[in-house]
Amino acid sequence: MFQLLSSPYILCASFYLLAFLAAVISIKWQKINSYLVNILLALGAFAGIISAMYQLNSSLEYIALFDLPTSIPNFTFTLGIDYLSAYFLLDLNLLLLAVAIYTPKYLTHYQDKYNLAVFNLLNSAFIFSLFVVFTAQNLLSFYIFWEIMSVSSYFLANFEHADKETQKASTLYVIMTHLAASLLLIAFLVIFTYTESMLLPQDLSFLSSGLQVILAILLFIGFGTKAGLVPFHIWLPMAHPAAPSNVSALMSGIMIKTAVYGFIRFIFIPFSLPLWFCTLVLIIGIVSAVGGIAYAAVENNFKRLLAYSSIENIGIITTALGAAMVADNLNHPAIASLALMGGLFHTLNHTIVKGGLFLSAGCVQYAAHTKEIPLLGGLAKVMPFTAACVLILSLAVAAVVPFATFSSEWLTYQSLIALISANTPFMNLILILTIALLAMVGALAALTFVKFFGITFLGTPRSAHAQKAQEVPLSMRIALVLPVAFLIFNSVYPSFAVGMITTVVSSAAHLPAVNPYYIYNLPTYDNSPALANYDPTVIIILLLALILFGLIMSIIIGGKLKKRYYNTWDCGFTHQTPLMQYSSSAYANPILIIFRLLYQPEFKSGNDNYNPYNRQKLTYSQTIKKPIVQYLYEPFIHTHQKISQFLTERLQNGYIQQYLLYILLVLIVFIVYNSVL
Amino acid sequence: MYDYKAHLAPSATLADEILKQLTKINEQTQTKTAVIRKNGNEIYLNTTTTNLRKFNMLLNHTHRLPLTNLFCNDEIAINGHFTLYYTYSHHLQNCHFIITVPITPEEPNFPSITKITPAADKYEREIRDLFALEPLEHPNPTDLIYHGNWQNHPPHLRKSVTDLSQPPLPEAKDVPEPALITIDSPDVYQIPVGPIHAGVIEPGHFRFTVAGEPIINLQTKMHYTHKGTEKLAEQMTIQQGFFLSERISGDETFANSFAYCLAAEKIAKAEVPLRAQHTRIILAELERIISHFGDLSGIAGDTANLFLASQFNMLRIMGYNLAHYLTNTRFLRSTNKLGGVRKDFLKGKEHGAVEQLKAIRREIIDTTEIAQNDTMFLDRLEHTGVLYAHTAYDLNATGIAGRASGLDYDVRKNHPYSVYDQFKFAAHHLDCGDVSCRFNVRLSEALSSVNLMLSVIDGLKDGEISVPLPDKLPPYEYAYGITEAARGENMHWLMVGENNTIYRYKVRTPSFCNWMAVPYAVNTNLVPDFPLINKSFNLSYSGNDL
Amino acid sequence: MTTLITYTFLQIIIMLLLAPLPTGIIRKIKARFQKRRGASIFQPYYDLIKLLKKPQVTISTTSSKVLVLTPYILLGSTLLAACLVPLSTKVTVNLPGDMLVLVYTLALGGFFLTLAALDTSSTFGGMGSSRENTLKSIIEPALIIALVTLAIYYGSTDLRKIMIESANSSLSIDPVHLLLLLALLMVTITETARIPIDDPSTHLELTMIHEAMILEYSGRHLGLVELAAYLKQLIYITLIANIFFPHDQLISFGGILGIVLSLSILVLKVIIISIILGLIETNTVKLRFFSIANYAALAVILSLLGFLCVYIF
Repeated sequence: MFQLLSSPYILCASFYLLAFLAAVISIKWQKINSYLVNILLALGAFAGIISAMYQLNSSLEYIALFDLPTSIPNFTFTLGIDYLSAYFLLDLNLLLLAVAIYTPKYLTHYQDKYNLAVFNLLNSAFIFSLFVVFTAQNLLSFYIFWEIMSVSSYFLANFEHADKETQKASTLYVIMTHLAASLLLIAFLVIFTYTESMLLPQDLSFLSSGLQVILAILLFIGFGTKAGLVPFHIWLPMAHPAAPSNVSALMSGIMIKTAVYGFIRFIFIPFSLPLWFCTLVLIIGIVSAVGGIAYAAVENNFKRLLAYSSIENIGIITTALGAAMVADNLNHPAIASLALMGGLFHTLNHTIVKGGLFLSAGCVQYAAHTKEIPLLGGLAKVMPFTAACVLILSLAVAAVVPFATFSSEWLTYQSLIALISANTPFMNLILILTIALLAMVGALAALTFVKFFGITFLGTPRSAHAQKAQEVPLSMRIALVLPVAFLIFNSVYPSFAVGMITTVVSSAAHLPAVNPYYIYNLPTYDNSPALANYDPTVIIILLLALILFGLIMSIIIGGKLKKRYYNTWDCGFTHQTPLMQYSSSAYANPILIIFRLLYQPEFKSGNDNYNPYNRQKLTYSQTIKKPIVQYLYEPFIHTHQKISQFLTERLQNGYIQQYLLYILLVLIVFIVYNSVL
Repeated sequence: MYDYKAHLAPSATLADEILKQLTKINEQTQTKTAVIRKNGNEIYLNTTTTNLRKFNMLLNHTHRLPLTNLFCNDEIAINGHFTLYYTYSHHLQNCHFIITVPITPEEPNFPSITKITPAADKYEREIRDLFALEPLEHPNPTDLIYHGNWQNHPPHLRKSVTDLSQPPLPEAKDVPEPALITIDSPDVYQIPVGPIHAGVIEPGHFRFTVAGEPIINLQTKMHYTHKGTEKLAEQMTIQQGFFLSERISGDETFANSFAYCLAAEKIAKAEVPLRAQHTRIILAELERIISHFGDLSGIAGDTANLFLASQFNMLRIMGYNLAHYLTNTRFLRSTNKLGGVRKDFLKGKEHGAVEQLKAIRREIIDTTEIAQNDTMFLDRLEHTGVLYAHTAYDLNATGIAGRASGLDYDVRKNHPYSVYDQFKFAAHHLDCGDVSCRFNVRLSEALSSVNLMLSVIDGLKDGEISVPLPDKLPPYEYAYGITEAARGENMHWLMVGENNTIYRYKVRTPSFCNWMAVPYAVNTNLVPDFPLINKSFNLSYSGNDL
Repeated sequence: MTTLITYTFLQIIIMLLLAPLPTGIIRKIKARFQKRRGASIFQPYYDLIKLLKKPQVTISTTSSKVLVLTPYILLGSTLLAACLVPLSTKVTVNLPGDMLVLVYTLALGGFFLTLAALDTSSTFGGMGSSRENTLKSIIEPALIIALVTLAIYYGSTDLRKIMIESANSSLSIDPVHLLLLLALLMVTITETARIPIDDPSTHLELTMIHEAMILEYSGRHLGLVELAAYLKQLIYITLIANIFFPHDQLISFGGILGIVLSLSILVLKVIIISIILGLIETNTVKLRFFSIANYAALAVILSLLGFLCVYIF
């Protein structure tokens, strides 16, 4: 029976492997390679979605997929899927379906400059390594495929290797991710010494508290760098814009979610951590959310804007996880369950939405050949379909009411509010500030995405790039519809996803199953029964009904509408140019000035003319500082360079005389040591 | 902070000494200097284009006399060339140096002094537009008066141009883009406001260069209501010119007609009777306080201080009511007359006028106290729209704008006309140059104007109300009529032609100079503060455009 | 199910009928303070009907469908938010939506309005849009802290439950309520674009925040957008009225008469709060734009103090 039921997963994995092989075989014929590999990947994604949905709605707690022993002791290639892995596999495959359909036509963009077959090879390797990361049951195999995932994503991000900026960005990425992975390896090895087994740790609470904290910190930094949490996030805003859009979609959509998987699997489930650590996770989460959206709001490159928005959303997910850890520590399992459900649902929603947004960013790049928002405008007239999809996705990212992202944020809010109930005042203060900052993050996200959609798609074109844009090919449009469709499904009928998440939470995290939308019996301030109620389906139906009501009411009162088209009001000045529209940095300028403590902006406006009354040659420039890079990393890099320089010049300088001196000194030390002892 | 007065005030050298220095410059090029002293405080002397810049350096830089007027006169019928008149006013010694420079039609250009004297900018462009005389080395020689939709326009103020018809308007796409300053940066964009505004105000186009809320640069494009006033005047008799002068700008009626009458009466050497002078002062001050109340109401309205806005509006209506009570017209049209005033407006109405003025004074004092204690309101006004003293001096910003920036100059005190020197009143000035200073200067001025009116009515003696002017004024005689309008220094220059007609009528209202100062007051302020700053200057578009 | 639909429909009708009234009252008070007679307090009704009856709208040529869809989406989302506000404890419309749904539904409307302002490629629209979104970002924390504090105090995030609990407990003038009331008043003034944040009757485009976004609307679309703005104002006023001053415990009899009496007292409370808003509007001055950050910080501090007071008193 197991064989029969596990076969969809085998199908999924084998399609991925076949895709890799196909990429290797057809490495000479780029076009066929693209179509072949991506069709196989799409088929694999489809199989993966079906099998994951089947498992999550059944009672199959664990499906052992693969168990290949090797001659290295304690290293077995074991793959097995429990509910948590199944959920993340669902996440991966939902996105992969869209990306696989998107890739062939998108890559024609790069046809003459780079080798597409290499791209497909790396891509399939990347997908397969993601699959193994989610399903590995052995620590070493997890680590090895984690590294394969990092390396293949490095090469993918560095695909446009002729560009200096891309090289810098991907180099930074690979260095940071390797350093983080080394911390993971240390943690795994320590766990191995205490548990004597390389299987995924289930319960490590028997370790001393100090050791648990140290291990948790190592794992947190390791996974946090991959997630892009402040202060380990600096690679994300550089690597995501540098990569091609389908890679960015995968990286932002699912690769940073491997860190969420890691948090739950390796930190939340096994350890029982002290309260201060859980609060620290919460605080780092909300700080990442605020920092991410703060920089997204003032950003002019739309892919970097989306990358900062990913940092924000990972921050929100981490906040939910932090809340779950705090609730677990304070012995409120129902609240922990609620928070964890919020975090997991937001993971799924964010994958779909951010993946879709990056794919649409690729569409815009394909059509207009630029990534700068100030050069775009008026694209909704030439690309109406893409614009409609982006509008829905932007609304979702800003977490407004009928969409699924609001549902997951609502769950996070409710868990935080429930946590405030009977805690110490200090903890309550942190929780209320988290809630307040979440509200501000939501409003700033609305600002960011109004700017993103409004200036890119609406208005009139601001440059020749935008004027010559055209609608993207059909396959790219279909690929864009898929995330929108999944999003709408999740928004209108979230019980399906939430039901699956409840299974995950109750089985994998061993927390009680809570009905998230009709919350009773949560502890409150005066211990009276609580009531919090939200049914998205009813709300959406009511919203649509009310919009229709408005339409009908206006037709009844006013009759049939006659439309007259005329120029925008220009105050009677007939020479309107597109440069008289709002620019994207001007849109976020008030935010820049109000939060100048964070950004420390410098506005330099000068007059190149010596005569102050002659203002013919005016100049203007604006710089924004990034405090984490400036105050945390740059001193570190600076001292590191100084130390390396010192070592190279003084100690390892190549003079044979100095090395002979070292040998002499060591000999003397040994002689003395031997004669003394 | 330096002492503005020491740095910017004119030198203490006597006028005769300055004349000697100017004559010496002329002698270096063997130019004969003819000094003509006229009308008490006008000193005319000639020079050539080669010495022009040296004259400018001496007068403007060494002796710090501001350039207050610059215009051209087509004197080909009289002596075969155009003449440029440069006016430098010595505010501390009550004299005006008027330098005349002949320009032959064969060489229709003159050296520009704008790079050294920024105040000359618009004057030179105006001469370029209306006379086709090119200012050499002008930093920005673009069209000022004619917008791009009248290409190849004839130089209308030349006497040789008699066809005043307007060609058919070109298509919008054929009209070239106006030459406005842009900055090449992706962050920067432009906000165009006007010429049609949402409120019922005069047309004018403002082009902001911004990168968000703080303003980087402002350019104004005026002359949408250019009516050809000066050319119209040249076809009129002296009497008709008087009616024209009243209609230059709607709310400066009396000040403009006052200046015209002063100029004409100086040419006619007429002695205006004392009662007429007193009546003229009362009506001029009445127009001043009406204008000030309107501005104060506008400032309060722009900060959404609805109570103060309605309060000042009420005071303005009280002013209009007083005007109507005295003269049966609110805007004081047809009250002035060449040689005096048209009727004895104050006969039998002194008591009523005094009552109304006292009521106005009470309201001013009460409202001032409310305004000074409203901290939210003051917070909007302070440090907004700062016009520095040296900028105001460089651009010859007079009136409220100049006095609020620290320049202690009021025509009524420095170049007294009519019988102002017989009365004691204060000319208020403050140092900060922001909107709150302009607000406070207006309040104090309104109060002292009311007090002045009361003291004039107090000292009224019976007498004639006008003296008839001779039928024909001597042709080719000229004079300046300079008054202090509500907005500032108002200079009218009149030259009589044959048969009692006007040969040349040059009008320079204070708005012409003050509009140059507005962009400098607005820099680095926020965009939503612009209407407030604009209202605090409250300049006339029609007085600028003529 | 049918009772739910009937009550929802009734609530929508009541809110729609009541919406222009606070604006009319505020305008009347402003006029009186300026020694004017002022228009009738029902003038906004007449204006709305006039706008909705106009047969033609002028649509900008540079705009896309977003401009045309926005008035309907804005009105729909504001009506949805209006359904979630508790009008009276005698009538329970148990819609599955709580205070967070209310805030984020209004955010949906705001998103579309600010987006449509950018659609016309007019500078003033972009200006209004940027300023409105900035103000929303800095005032949301105060709103959420105040609402969450009320949720903790009364034990639920559902607004109807809060109103019932507030009506059941005695009317206490304690620091929590005072501070939260002040904070919510400050938030109301910001969200409804009143002086000292924005002057709703100004004609100066450069200073506008809310009005600048709707400059390009005309006819029916303008009527719908204005109606949505009035509704939003009414939502905030009703929230303040019903949570801080619930009155239903005074009504001892139920049935239709009880409901009618309850709703009439609600109208009275709305009128009183409108008068207070009008008085605030007349006696303050529009703040400089970046001083609004100080105003928002004050609102946040007030609501945070209110939260802290819950644990002291």
